[in-house]
Amino acid sequence: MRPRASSHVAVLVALLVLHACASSQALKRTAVASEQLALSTQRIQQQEIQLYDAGEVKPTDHAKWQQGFLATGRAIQALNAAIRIGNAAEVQAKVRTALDEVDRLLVQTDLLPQNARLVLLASLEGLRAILVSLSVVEV
Amino acid sequence: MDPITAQLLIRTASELVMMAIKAFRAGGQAATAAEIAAILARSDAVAADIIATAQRELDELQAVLALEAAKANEPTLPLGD
Repeated sequence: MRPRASSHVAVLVALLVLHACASSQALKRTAVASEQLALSTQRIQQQEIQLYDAGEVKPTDHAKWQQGFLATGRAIQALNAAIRIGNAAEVQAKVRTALDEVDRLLVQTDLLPQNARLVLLASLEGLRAILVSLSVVEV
Repeated sequence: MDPITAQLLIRTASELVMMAIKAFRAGGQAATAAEIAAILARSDAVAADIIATAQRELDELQAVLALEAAKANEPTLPLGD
């Protein structure tokens, strides 16, 4: 192999390795964020159940919240499936779906008494921030 | 704001900061496919738990609401002498 060609190959290999590292970093960041998202959602779900048990949430509103958590759990699983495939467009689409579910939960905080509202609102805003940061990550 | 709510808010805020730090640090490290698969498996397990809990709560709620509806439709017994 001529020196010039070999240097081209070296540059090409370096670029491919760099791209693979960047992709693996982005995938790992997205996967870690997905795990944090799941843990955070679970914590908010537990808080809502405690509020319901304490009589601060009406049964019909409790049903709405749990339907929301059900949809969010499914959205997280769909996001994980997209991360496994590693398709950037698909990952972004699933992040947007999860974001929609969290936005729906945020709207529902209006149904809560003030103190309960403050707690869930802070948690959900944090959850939203994770998703918004994910939506700008390139996979 | 009562002390319990304030405490919950502070805990929530500190947990969110920890989460952000964890995600940020994870982004700076190269990852193997096995490592990513393990993280996703943990995330899936938590998501499955969220779904199962939500389903259980909805089932229990349906039973409670059905019982309340049945009670509301129960004919009132005539008052005896």
